[in-house]
Amino acid sequence: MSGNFYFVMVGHHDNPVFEMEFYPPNKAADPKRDDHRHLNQFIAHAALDLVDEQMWSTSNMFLKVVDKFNEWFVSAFVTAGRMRFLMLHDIKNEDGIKNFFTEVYETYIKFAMNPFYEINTQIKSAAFEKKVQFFGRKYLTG
Amino acid sequence: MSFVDYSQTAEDHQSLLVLVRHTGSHLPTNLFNLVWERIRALSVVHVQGQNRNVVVRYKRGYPVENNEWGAFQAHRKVLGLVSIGKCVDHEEFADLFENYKKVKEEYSNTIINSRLIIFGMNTDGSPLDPKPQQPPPSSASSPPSQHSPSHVSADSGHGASAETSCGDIDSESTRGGPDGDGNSREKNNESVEGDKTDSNPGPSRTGSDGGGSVTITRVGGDASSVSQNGGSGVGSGKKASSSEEKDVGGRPKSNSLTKESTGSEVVFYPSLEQCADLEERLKEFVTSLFFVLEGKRLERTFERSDRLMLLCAPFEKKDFIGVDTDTKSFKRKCMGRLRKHLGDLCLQASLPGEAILHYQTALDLLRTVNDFLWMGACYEGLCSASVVLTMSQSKATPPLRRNQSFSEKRGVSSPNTKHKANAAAHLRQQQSIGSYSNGVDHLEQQTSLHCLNPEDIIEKYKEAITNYSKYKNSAMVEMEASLKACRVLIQQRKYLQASDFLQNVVYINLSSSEEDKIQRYSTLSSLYGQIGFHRKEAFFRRVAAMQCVSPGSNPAWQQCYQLLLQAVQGYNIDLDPRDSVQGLNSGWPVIQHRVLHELVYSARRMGNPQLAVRHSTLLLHTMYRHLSAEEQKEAVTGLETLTSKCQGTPQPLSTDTGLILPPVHLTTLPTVRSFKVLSPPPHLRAVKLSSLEDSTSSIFIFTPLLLGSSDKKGNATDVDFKWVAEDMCEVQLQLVNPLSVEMRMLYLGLLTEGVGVEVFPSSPCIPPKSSPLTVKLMTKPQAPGQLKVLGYTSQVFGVASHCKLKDLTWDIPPFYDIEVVPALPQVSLTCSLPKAATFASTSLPDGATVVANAAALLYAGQSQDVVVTLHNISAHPVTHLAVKLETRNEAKESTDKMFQWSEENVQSQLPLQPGAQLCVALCLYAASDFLLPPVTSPDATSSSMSSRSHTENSEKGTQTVEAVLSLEYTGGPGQEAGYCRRCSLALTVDVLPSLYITNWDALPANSGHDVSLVLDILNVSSHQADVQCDNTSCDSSPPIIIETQQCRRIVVTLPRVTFPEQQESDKFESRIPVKYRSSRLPDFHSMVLTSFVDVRWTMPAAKVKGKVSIDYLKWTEDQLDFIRRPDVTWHVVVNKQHYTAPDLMSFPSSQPVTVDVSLSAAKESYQDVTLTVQPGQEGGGGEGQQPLDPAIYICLGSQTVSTSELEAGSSLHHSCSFLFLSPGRFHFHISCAAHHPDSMVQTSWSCLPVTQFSVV
Repeated sequence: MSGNFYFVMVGHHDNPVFEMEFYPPNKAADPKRDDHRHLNQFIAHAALDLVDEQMWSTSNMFLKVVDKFNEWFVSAFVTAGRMRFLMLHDIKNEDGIKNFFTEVYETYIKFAMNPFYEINTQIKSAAFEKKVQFFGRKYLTG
Repeated sequence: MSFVDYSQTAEDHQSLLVLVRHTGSHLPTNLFNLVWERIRALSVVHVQGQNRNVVVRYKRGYPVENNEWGAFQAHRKVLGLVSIGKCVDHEEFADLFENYKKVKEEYSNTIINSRLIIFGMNTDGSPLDPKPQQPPPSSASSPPSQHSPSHVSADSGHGASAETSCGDIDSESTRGGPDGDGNSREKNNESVEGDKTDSNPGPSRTGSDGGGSVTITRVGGDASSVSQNGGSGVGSGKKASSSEEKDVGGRPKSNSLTKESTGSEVVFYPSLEQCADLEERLKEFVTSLFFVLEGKRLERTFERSDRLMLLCAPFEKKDFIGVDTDTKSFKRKCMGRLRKHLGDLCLQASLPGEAILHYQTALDLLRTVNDFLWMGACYEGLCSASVVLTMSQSKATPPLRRNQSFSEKRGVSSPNTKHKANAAAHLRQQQSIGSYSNGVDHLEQQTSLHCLNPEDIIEKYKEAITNYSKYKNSAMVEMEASLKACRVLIQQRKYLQASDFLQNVVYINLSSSEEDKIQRYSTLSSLYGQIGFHRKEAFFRRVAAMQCVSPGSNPAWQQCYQLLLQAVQGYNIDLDPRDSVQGLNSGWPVIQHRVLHELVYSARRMGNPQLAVRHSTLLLHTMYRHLSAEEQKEAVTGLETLTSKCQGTPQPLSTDTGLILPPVHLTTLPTVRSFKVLSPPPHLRAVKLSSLEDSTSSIFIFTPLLLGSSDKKGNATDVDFKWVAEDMCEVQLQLVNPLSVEMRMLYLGLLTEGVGVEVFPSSPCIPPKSSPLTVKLMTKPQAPGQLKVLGYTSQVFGVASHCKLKDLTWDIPPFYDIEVVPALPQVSLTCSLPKAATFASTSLPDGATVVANAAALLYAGQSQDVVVTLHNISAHPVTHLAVKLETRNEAKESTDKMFQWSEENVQSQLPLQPGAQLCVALCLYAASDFLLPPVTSPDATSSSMSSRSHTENSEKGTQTVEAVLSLEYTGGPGQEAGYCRRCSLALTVDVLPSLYITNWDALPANSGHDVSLVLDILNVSSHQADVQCDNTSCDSSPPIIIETQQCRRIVVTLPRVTFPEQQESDKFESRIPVKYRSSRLPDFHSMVLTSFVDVRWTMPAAKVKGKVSIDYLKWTEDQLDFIRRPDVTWHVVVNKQHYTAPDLMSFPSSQPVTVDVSLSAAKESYQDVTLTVQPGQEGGGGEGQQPLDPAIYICLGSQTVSTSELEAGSSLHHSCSFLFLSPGRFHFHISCAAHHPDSMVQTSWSCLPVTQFSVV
């Protein structure tokens, strides 16, 4: 029960724009995961308060660990457009998460430049998903 | 086990803890609450003469375990007890008193003073209704009042300077001191015993005795200036002591326990209304507490170090058993802890500045012996004292509960505080606006040199918490410190740091009960709310709610529900869907769904299905867009299951806490795509009676200005038609089901306002993901007036909703205003003719109101009677009926001829009662010109046909005539209001050609008075026709049989006719060339002749009969001469024989034929009359009138005679003879020419019949 990650991008109205979970390869099928998913979302939502507060205290986009609840840490990243990236993780992996955020941010910028994409709406793109998956493997679980 | 006080603040360190208990069952809870509120309001008491304000903290319950922490932190000690009860007689009072004593026992270790407040008795302790057998109590109770003067002087002791009182207390505190420190004394068992026995009266007795007596003797003179109330607490304390003494002294049992206890700490009030001095009594009670504390403080200050005792926290006690007390470090520890305790006492005695000094000293002492727990307490004390100091400057008076004496003293203090108060208020305002700042540092200069600045306070709190966290058993203290620190940070507006402390609270490992956890999470939640972290707030509220129903414990669904309800705001869920902006995806749908689901579940488990339905409705209403098909189905099923037990209502619901849940109207389920108020069908529309057309509207005919109508135009809610009362009215909706579940609507009706209506709901069923479904909503207004259509009511999935148009999201007026006119009768129209297949002329003015149509097929000239039946199907009689025929203007004459009815007959049948029938006899006649259709070029035909209502089937020659029989009727209340209805019957008559008159001529008949009309009649029908011509002359001639396509000639003899003068206009019309005429016009002369000619036909095979009209025949002038009756009469005699046609007289040749002609003018006289007799010979043609070759005859005499004037009534005679030279057939053409005397117009006449004869 370690090395799990839950990544979510949150829009301006506290609405999730993109969600993804990463877990170690050996724990592919965990029946308890479904229950956790809800909890993850609740924790992530509650952590937004701290993100909103802490993003003014630093000039960095990466806010490091902003909150924790039980075994979960919440790391955050705020983009220039105030999209909030949250990562719930149960092991500390600051560098990996930072790199992951940065890469995803870049991908997101490219994606958002698509004139057919409306900001704050759910991202439904297989390519984007694949990229994030790749970064997740590269920096988090890999 | 210790209990965390989640509501504690840093300021509480300076307060005196007083326990307020509800004793006995006679006092109703609400009454107790009222008293509690009054007591609680008295949180700050100004101690007279000391210039100090004592802060009191009241608690309704306090665990004894926490009381044990009193040595560790003095503010945790219960110092006073106030019991409140109610009784009516002494027995009850005895019970209450017992109870009170028991409570006092519990807290005996720490309690300094106590009160029992009793309602329901007189102030002297006697029952309210003085019973006869109990007169003594009232008399016995007088002593207390007599005591009062002495108490007056007693209280002045407190009013005196601190020096004196200090001295007093000091002197006696050697005795009283140990009483307060129950903990330290617990070591030696015997004293514990003794403590218990006299702990209650002990402090009060000693305190009051000492203070009271000394002051009486010393400064009794000041007493008059001090109010009685201030000191009576001590006084009562004295009373108590005295009574106790008496009690102990075996005072004979009197008739009342009341009496003896009045002397003690018991206060009586008849009722809540009659306890005006309650506050005063409390104040004096608090003051008494203060003085005891103050005494202790001073005592401790001068304590010598050789008599040290170790103060310790509850869990430490066992650690120090058997520890060597003689070591230096132990002594240091004792001293440090004592110092710390002294600091606490200073703080409670509202000397925070001194407290800080004590704490710092204690800190230095304890640091050397590594007494971390107490170091933590010192740090916390430091913080509290600093906060108290800082806050007393910065905090404005308004937040404090207003206390009369307090505000009088403080309110007028310095303008400086006022200014700060304003600043603070301003800050708070800013906060409420929502500006986030990460902390506001108070910039006031510190009054105390040692006071910590805001940052240091937080630092010290952190240290305190760090120190506490080193001990497992001090978790309670650690948690409270965290919360206190957080509250301080909230005041400093440093929210991020505050959140750190809150975060810490979560991780403090404190084994506690479920309720405690719930309370902890709730406290966390509300604190997060205070720092503006609403998502965190919601999170912890939900966690608390989940804790309520955690498995293994007794699930408290009610509490769970309430907590969840408080959480919804943080998840961006709006309980009133009207407030949330549609389409804006705000919030986290998955979480919202989950929370709403939990809300529904908890409401259901709580046993309030009504609430469950409401939330379930909201869930479906707001979340359906985010749900998958499966989830939608689940939500719908869930809702339906709930509503099967309890239907959803459109009314607001109130929860137990008084929160009003607004109704959730399913305005999007189904989604309304269009909402159209329909006009009634044309035949039911109310029309203003034309006679009542009002001219009152405006004297101006036209104005380009839209006066008064501009404001109406904005919402465009008016419709351009009216509805009729008691009539079905319709609104058309287009519904779409956005769900993937079939939507079965049990009810769909109109929501109206203004006029009472009868609603006829529909119950459509909309398939999933449907295309728009059109539904008509019926309603029947019951009365005339202004009807406002607001929206619709629906019942979907068992939830009744009122969907108002203004709540619908798309652009639609918020309501429709419709005028309802009074009720009108309604008739149905039927016709005896079969229905027509088509009706072309719907463009006629009344074409839209057609309710029935009829078709007839007639042969030209045929007649048919049709009955049009009106059936009154309404409840109002028809009192007015006007029948009118509408056709195209150009076909008016012929159609008027074709459709005829009797107006009198119609009017005689009125009024038409409800349910009754009225018949209009309509006579159809297939009018035709009976002429061969003109042969025209095809294109000309088409152009002419289009403009004619007589459309001709060129092949068959069938003419179609269309007309609308329009009925205007009214009655009942609608007639009074000037409205009527129109309905009409469309009539289509196809006229088949029957007979055509192909040729016609007029011939002179045998008699000169008659004329014969010769008609060639062609049968173009497909049946054999029997034609009979009846005229006045010959009655019954046998019918002429004409086979199909056969032409027969018939002769009609009729007397010659005198034509009336033709109208000039008719003449003009007849002069228009035929090709420019829209239709053939009847001939003027023929129309006169028609009355003399009656040609009838019958078709036995088709069983029809008709009439041939000769209206359209055109006559030449010559023919007319035959027809016209001449103005003169002829009398011709040939060879003395009277000639009668068609006889042929025979004369021998070479014998003259003598002709005697007599011409007489009937009415008028003529001039220049010339009479000519001209013989002629019959040639090949019968009609030829060539002048005869003069060689054939010889005229004997003059052929011509002239006269200048022929008078009316006179005659002109002429006689002449002719000798014919050759045999043959001859005739005489006798004519006369004359001038009309007035106009000099020459006219001429011929003698008819022409005289014929043969010469042999």
